[in-house]
Amino acid sequence: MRRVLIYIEGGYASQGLKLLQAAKSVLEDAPCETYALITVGSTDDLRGVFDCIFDARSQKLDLFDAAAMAALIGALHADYHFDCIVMTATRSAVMLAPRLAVHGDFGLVTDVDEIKWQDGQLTCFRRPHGGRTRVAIAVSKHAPPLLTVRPDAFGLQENWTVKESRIVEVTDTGHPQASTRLRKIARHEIAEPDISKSAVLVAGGGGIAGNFAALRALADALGGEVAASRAIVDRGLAPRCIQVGQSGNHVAPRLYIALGIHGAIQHVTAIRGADYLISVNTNENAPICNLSDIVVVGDAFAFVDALLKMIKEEKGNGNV
Amino acid sequence: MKLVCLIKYIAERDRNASGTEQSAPDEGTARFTINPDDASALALALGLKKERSDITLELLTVSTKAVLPLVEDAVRLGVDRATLIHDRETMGNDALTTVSLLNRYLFEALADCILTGSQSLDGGSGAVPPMLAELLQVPQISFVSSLDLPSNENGYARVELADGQWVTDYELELPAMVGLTAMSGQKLPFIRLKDKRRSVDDQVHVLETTDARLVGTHDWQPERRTQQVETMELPPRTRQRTVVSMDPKGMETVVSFLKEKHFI
Repeated sequence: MRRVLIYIEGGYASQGLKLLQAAKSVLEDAPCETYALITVGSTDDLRGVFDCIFDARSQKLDLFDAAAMAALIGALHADYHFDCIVMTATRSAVMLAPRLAVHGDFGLVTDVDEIKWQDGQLTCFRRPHGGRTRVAIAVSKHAPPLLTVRPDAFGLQENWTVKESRIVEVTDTGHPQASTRLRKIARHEIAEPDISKSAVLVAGGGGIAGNFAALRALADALGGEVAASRAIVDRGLAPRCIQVGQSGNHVAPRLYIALGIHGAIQHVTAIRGADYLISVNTNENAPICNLSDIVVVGDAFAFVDALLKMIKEEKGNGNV
Repeated sequence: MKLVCLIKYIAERDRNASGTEQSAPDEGTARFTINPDDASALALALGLKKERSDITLELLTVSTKAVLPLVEDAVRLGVDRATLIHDRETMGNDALTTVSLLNRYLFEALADCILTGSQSLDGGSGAVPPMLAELLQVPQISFVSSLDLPSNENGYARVELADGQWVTDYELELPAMVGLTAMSGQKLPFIRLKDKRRSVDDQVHVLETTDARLVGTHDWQPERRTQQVETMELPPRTRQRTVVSMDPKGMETVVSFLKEKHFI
């Protein structure tokens, strides 16, 4: 029976089923036991999905203490001999996965967005940081894959059977010095978010100047950040740190929703790297609409309300 | 206090990322530039050295000899010593080889704090610093935007890490490894005119991989478990524009699109 471990990082609980789908792509139809590891959050959403849940919350491990996390996962691997380990490609995973790879016999591939079996070889696809290329990495059949997977690169696993999950409380991290060599001192919310790191941006222009604050709810619902065109910033309705444009931020999110933005060249130049673009405008011939995947002709506020309602319905139906 | 700054020089052609570990630029014709995150690390280190007379700063890189002019420039900016480990085969583009070489050198170098970049623009996954930290058994943290060092090498370094909406302050017991990002705002100064032609030969050292200082019982040479098999240039993005109205059918189109692309 194969074994797969999914490390579910705090704040990324919604990725659990998607990571499981990624793991299934590795193991295909082979029968397998699924294990989840959590260090924060709740086990509620994981019960019934995984065969076993390792509950390490009592260890109070810090998210960025990669040495301690690597020791913990390494200790679990020594006992359970996983055939595949998957986690979300986050900042903490950038530090954790390589540390874990050093002492294990893993085939490490980071930022995976697609997995295939080609000519009998497991092949993972990734888009390198800063890159305009895509590379295919083959993993040796003698090495359990250790994968960090881009958020939302895989869909939710469908038709999964409800399982009787057993909970295993983790009482030993295998890293006695964890709490002394790296320690968290303080944490505070920043008033100026870094929109260049966000995968989803909901941007407003002159067309929504009447109520720029309305964008926040949609950004939250999509797990993204709010951005603004220069027109909004110059009116004092948004801080300059979230301005998108030649004199602001150049962004390359996966999704850019432009609400009431005309699309001056200075703005358009800064969003050329976006994977997908949806624009909402009363003028379908506005320059930004020519670059869009979808153009919604209409009122931006009405769009925000309607989309929020539909996302809520999707969540209520269990589709999200 | 001894600081070591690990620097990666990326080929100009790779600045838009051609791939990952196993691509190697043409040593004879490639032009190189310092990776932006690493430049921030070096700028921070130079700033710290300027503030404190007890700090010595060494630059360390695994690369081709073609980067020597850039290394010499770093010395002219204030680096005390620069070491280039000449990796003929992969020229610093293979993570496993790079980690192995750096581990051998740093094991003896006894640095109090090792500064690095967090990710490289040539497709690097940011794996080298944490792998190296694991081998050296030091705490390590990437994506740092600021660093305060203690007054002596027995204390704790204090860093700020920005992650999404949050900034968290951490303390790391020295010796430690800290990865900066270009977002830290640290910028390298310009070389003063009078320094441009200053000879720095006695401060720049080139080691071949066969050098005795790079061979030791602590050698780490893992088996290669992955291999890059294909590189695909992404085609220019062409968008199939769909125009919809603000009606139920139009909104369904939007929601279906978002679901298909896994945004909801």
